[in-house]
Amino acid sequence: MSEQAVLLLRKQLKEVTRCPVEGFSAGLADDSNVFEWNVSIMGPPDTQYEGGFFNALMTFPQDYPNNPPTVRFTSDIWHPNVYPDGRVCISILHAPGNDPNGYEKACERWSPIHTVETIMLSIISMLSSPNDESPANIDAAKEWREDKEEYRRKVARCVRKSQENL
Amino acid sequence: MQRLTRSSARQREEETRPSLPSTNQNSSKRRKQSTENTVTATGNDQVSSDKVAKRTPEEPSNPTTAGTKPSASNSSQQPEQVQNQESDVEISEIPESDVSYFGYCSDDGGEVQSNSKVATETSCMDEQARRRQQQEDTEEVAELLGVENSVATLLLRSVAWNKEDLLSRYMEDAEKVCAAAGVANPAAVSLAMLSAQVSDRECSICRLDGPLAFSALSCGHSYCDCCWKRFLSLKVEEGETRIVCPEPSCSLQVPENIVRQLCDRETFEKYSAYVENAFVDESKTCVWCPYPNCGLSVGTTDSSSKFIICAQRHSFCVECRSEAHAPAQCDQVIEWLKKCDDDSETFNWLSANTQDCPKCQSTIEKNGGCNHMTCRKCKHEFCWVCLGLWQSHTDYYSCNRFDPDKVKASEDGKAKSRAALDRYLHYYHRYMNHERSRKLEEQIRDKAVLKMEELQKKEPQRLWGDVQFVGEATEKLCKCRVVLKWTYVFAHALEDSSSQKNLFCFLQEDLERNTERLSELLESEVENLLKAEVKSEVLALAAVATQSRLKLLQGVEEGLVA
Repeated sequence: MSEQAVLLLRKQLKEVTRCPVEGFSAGLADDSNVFEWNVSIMGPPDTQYEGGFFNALMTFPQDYPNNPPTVRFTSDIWHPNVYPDGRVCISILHAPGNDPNGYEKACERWSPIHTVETIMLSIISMLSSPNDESPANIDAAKEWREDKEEYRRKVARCVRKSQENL
Repeated sequence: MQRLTRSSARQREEETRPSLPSTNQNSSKRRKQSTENTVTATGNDQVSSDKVAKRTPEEPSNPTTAGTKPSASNSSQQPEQVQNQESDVEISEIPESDVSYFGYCSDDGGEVQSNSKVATETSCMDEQARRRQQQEDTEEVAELLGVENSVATLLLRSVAWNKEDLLSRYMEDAEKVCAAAGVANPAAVSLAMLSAQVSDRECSICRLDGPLAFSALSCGHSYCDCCWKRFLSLKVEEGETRIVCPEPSCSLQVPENIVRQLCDRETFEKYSAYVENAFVDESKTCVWCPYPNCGLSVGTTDSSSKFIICAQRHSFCVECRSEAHAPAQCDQVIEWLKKCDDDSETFNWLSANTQDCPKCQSTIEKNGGCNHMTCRKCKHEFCWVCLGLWQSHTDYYSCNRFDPDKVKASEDGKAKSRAALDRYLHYYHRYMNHERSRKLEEQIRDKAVLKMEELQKKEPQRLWGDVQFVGEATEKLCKCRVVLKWTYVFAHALEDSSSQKNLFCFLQEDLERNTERLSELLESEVENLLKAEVKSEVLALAAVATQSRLKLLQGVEEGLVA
């Protein structure tokens, strides 16, 4: 199983480095371990995150692509769908079978067909349009809904900080 | 679908009726009972054997029940059990059919009627019968719509296995039905895997280069067979019974035959088992028996019947999934059980350990040996024992003297909450008591059987059938107990001193009296029970108690109007 994962991840890495996709860059965190990737995401233009460079660690399971990787921001980020410890909470990264109530539609859930690229695009889209219905960071969600000004200030602080760390 | 099933059940009933007596005899033989016994029984029994021929749609409507799982598992357990079960079937139906012959023809199919339907119209569908029904429905739909069986299954599942509903909706708007079921439309397009092609291109999941064997649903999203297998196995492992194409934007469901084609046998068997269970979960025509460790599914083809019996003879309410609870209503039962869970211990403790302050009626716990109480709330000082003013204990001691006026005064002054508590406990204790009695009485029959075995060793001329009636009477007794138990829940919900309550209490009293008489007699020694006069008394009492039970249920059904 893990052999297949290694092959697949190497292939995806090659593709991402050969033809980079706008909005993010990716590479191995440690050259000897293909299961841990460092990704950096550019705050999408025309959003409050514009100008920020957010780093995240992407960890793949041994049975990838049957199960999704986890993505954790290592940069500070204030967002309703990111846990305070940096873990990203979006439906396509939920391990299959984790949604017994059928709350998420099938097309929004993990499928082995997803790649690093589709995951990154989902995260970028998450930055542009937060989903406050099932928030990971409740305070951020509340602020996003009720106190946009304070929310904007906190995000701006994260953006500034990420620029300083460049 | 319901209509179809019911009529076919009736048809089957018709067919099997003439053969019933022989079925009866077979079972009698099995229980080593001499046929003479059934024939030469008392008047009561003759009525029953008559009725036996008229009832038991249970068996005919569901021929498999008799031969398959329940009896098989029973016979492997212990012979007594088989005997019990069969005698159960025989007797339990009799009173109900009796009643439906004289007078339960009211049109409003409520409690009593449904209760009587418990025995007469509810079909018990076991695993095998369920599978067969599933198969029949699937094949019929497949044939009518010209699709494969596994596609028909997907379509049926999308409408909770309501075949007629599916067909009418399909005729109206096939496209909509297909989309909802995750099936390609038109269904004429075979949903089978596009023939497996070997190709040199890359699989979009594992990204390996060919040559690989590819497969796809009719949506055309094709993946290599290894990836399909891994994907399907993972989904099955997770207990998923609606597996959709891996392509996130695609909603086509993977039909059963594809799972069979691509997965190993073990995985497919697991998948089929899940799908079969899903049938019960999804279908509106059967439910799981809620009894612990039962795991049987029961058909509810007669939707007007609220209380049904599974093949293991557990009777329960389809709506609230608790024990069959006539005459109480579901909402009363739910409320009552919740109250019992929440409050009973507390209430029992309160009644045993607390008093109400005679002045402000707050509930007070004694926290020391001294009987001089001071209410924390109103600072009233009183004696724990006589509830009188504490002052009277210092100036003029009268605690030891019984003063009827005082007792009366203190009773009048009792707080409402205490009265409500007492009221609740009144019903609760009686409710629990009947439950306990029933549990004990359920053993009477077993005890009688054991005792009979002993007697037979000593006196071989004794016949097995001689204690048969004990089992039958016990069954009737237990039925009365269950009803009695629930009458207290019903009564608790009735307004005190209303005319309905008066009538209800009268009916309840009648049932309680007859039940106790029957219980007392049945608890006597087996030697006594074997006397002819005792036997006929037992049978008469059992009939009387049953009458009372049905009269009560009928009374409630009719709204308790005199």
